[in-house]
Amino acid sequence: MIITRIITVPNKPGVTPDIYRIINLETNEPILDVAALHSLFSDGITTRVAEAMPSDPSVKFKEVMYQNGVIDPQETMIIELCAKRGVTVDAVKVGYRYYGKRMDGLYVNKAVHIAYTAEPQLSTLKPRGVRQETQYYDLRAMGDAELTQLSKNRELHLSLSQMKKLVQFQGRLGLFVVSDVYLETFAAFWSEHCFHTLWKALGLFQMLKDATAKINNPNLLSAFIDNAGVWDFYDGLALLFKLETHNSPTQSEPFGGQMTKLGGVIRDILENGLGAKPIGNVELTVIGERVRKRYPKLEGAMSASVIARETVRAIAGYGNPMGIPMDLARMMNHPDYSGKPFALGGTVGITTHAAAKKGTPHKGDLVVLVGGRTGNDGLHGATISSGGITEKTDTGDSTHVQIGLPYTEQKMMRAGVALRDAGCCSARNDFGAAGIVSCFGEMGKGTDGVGGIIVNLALVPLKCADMARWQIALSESQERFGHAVKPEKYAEAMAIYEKYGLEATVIGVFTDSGRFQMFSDPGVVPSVGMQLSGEIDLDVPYAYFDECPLPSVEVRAPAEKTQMATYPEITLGNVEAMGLAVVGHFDVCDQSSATTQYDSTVQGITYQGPLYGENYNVASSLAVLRPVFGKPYGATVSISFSPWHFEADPVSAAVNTMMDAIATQVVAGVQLQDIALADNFYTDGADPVSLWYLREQVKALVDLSLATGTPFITGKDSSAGRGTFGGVIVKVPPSVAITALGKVSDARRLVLHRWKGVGNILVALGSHATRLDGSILSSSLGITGTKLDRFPIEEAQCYLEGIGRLARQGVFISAVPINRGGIFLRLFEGIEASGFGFEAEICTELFPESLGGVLVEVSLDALQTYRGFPELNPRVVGTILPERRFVVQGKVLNLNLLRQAWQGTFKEVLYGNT
Amino acid sequence: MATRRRVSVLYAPGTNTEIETMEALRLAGGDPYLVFLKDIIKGKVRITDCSCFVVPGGFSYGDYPDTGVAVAELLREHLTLLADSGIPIIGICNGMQTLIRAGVFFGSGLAMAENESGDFVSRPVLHRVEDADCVWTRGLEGRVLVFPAAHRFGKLEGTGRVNVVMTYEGASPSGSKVAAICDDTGRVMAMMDHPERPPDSEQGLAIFRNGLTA
Repeated sequence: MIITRIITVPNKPGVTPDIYRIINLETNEPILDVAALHSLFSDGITTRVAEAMPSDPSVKFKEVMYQNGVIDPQETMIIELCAKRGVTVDAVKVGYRYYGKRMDGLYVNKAVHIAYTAEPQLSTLKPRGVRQETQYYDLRAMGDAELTQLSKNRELHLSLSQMKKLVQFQGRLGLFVVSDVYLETFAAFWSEHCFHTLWKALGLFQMLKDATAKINNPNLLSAFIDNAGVWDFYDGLALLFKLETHNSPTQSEPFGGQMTKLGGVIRDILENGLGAKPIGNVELTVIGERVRKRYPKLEGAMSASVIARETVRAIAGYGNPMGIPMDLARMMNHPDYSGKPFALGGTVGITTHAAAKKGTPHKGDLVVLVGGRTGNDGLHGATISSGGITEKTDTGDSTHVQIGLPYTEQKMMRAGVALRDAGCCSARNDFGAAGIVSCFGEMGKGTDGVGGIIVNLALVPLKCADMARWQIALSESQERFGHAVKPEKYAEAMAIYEKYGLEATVIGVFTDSGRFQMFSDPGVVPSVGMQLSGEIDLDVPYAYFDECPLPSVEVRAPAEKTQMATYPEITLGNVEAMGLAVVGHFDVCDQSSATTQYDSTVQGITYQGPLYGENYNVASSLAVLRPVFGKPYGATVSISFSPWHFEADPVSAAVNTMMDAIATQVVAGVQLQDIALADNFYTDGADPVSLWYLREQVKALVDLSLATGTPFITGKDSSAGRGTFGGVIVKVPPSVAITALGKVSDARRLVLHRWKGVGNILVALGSHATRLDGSILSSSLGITGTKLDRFPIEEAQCYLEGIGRLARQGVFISAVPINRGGIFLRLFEGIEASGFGFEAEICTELFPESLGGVLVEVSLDALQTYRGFPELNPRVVGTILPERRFVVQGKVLNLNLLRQAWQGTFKEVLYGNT
Repeated sequence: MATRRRVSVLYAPGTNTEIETMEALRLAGGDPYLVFLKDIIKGKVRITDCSCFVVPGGFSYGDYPDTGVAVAELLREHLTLLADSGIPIIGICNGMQTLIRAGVFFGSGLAMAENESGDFVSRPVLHRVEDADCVWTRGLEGRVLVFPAAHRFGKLEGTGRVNVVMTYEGASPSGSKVAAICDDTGRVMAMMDHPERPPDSEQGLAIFRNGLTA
């Protein structure tokens, strides 16, 4: 093997380069004319090819490239381009070498990258590895201690009662031993991620589903049974949405974690029902404290600034190539997210009614694996580090995490719609956690209503050196898709895959056996009724998976709070200082330097994107898309969350958060019955008190859902909200993000955020909070809140219908929700966005956060009308001025100072030196 | 009724703006077809079988190993045919990067560099249409048009001669004043920002109509 290194540098005459790009090419034969390849890697204008690296050994550097076990995403293309120039290349790794200040703050993901500090001695660029043999266990011969130890050693996270159930199954199946594939499959099926054992044990999932069923909204097409919730749109079309968190991966590897978060939730849309097109993304990440005050020492915890920076890079890096507009984006911080961030991402899609519902595989349908190749990415077993693990063998370079590659997934954006329209598939699913086991295992469960699938693991295309079969079955390699292809449509489907450059392989068949069967026999294409041959890894009835023993869960009520938080009085003397503290808070500051890095206009359907205003720097609360060309139909998205509210009063915060998400839509003119919801809970499931809050939150949300008629149609719960560092436990507050999806027949009639007219009046409607607990001001003052003003559930429907009616009647000229930052921030943003000024008649009331409340612009003539609607609880805030001024009860605030504070925080947190 | 002119819109893996581009071309009076790069290479489609050719935006071939390189390399011979055909051509965003990198439309002295901010920039920007003999902007000279930017490698650099068609008015997303250029014939225009967003933007349609009637 010969490694040729082509080095490119920025073409700046007279400047010594401090960054080098090295294209490492592995060939069998020497490359005779290396110069003939130079123009592939350098344009000769912005970059040039360097003859050699600096040779002074005393000069320090870092050279970073993918580990051998990780396929460089650029490899395939570079091999093809070199081939076009007559050079056969076998493997490629692109590295970067950094000198001097370039090394400052350089983040190297050791799970994926290798960093050289001396000249690398490369012998090969190909994956290496030692094949792991299948392990077999006689569970019946094991006692409790051994079963527990086995679960621990393999990181199965199965309880003793679950392990004992597997012992029973072994007996029922009449097996002398069971394979590691057997153990890993049950561990995956019964994991919190797939089976939601904790939620099931508490009966929470059923509560939400029952409420949705009771509401019986005619817009509902699919809820809780597929990857996403599906909602009627217009003209036989349907909207769908899904949000998911990637908290643990983001804590350990922010770039990869955030990339694959977005990639995963996009796949949920792509593969929902019989296929859909993603039309919008939402992004919300809550990081820990940058300067660690509450938790001064967290050994080994990732820096909040690094997580924030890597988040921006990752979301841009995945979302932009996908060609999906970013609808809403926000970052927040809170010390209790220092152990694990809240990394939430979501995608909205569109499809046809015919493709909206979950498909059913039929006997004889082909099991087709599409997209990226399978590697040992994200496997727990490969990275386990505890000693004495008999299952773990030396796997060379195989300690991977998931790696996002949007280029592969983007091709399914097009191919997926073509497959849908051609009717090629009976069912579709995406690959996420637990890989083949989860994707095809779930699909096979539904075959013809009785279940059945056979998968030959030997047919799975691999990207890594020899993998154990349990790794092939469990691999979480990204950008893979599972399709049940109708036999009569096989040729057409394969033509579509080929047309869009997607690799597709038949690895099995759907059956009516009622069994989940996996075996390994190279060259054997499974057929219905076949006898399993080769090595049989799994052959169990699907009914076994339903017999998961649920854990007994301790739930403990919290101690009653006896002392209320106290706050300084807000006066005209300190209102500017308080305002500065609010606008400069990380959660609400100007984050446009990040948001503008996300493509928000691709697809040409964005009507109101993530930013608005004359400087395009004020964050929107409501995104509006017009996804059907030539039609005025609008899809609306809002999302609500504030960690400080959940810290203060988790249950009231859940109610208010839901009200905020709904009111943001309704005040724009979306009909209440046209709004669907998504819940994303984040809890420390190991804490009985957190579980009490969780249960009460779900109850309260169900009550509000029933009271307003707005159903939850999708959601996800994460119960792993705890990080432990050097003995310090950091628990997230029991929290839930609520996202609302709405539809309107004419987006042009929506009431949007930007102020329109000088002399118009702003009026606050809805419940007016009096307490500062949980507010941005409270956070800025370092005061932990204790109790929130809860929006009265019994008044919710009347209030929402009231503001909705006025919005649609055209009474509101502009509207924003009163959420984080309170009325003060809304006024500051209004001035920034419009260029107008404002004179407020109120002062103290500017800072409490009345989630669910709204701030609307009305004409003087209309003002009288509102006083006739007592259920809307109107409060006049003040008047829009022609000149750019901010006046509070006659006191002129320094807008330049406020603007500096608003604009300075974000970059300081991301790029400050802490 | 006049026959709609056939417009070929190039698709390579990673292209992600062809749908809205085709919609804009349709609204402008064209008859847009998606042309797959691999079909051109295989000889199934001739690159010159159209009245107008569009290289839309996206991340063709994942921008590997650099923006626009792969399409420029894989289609080099075909792009030469296209350049010789006299067919009006527009490259938008990644399309501009491709046309510049190909070297057959604007010579070999130009390249697209990273924006001075080092960041991808997605925001509305203003473009002043300059006096240039470009078929795509005929009649629009002197006007200021608003299209969104959405790119990271949008700064034109090099020593080659350029006919500047549009300049940035106000803040430039790339750091360069140049927003669009055309070749010596005036028939080939390359621009970084997106007149097809949204497809029914009258300002964008004015550009596409010009190309379709050239």
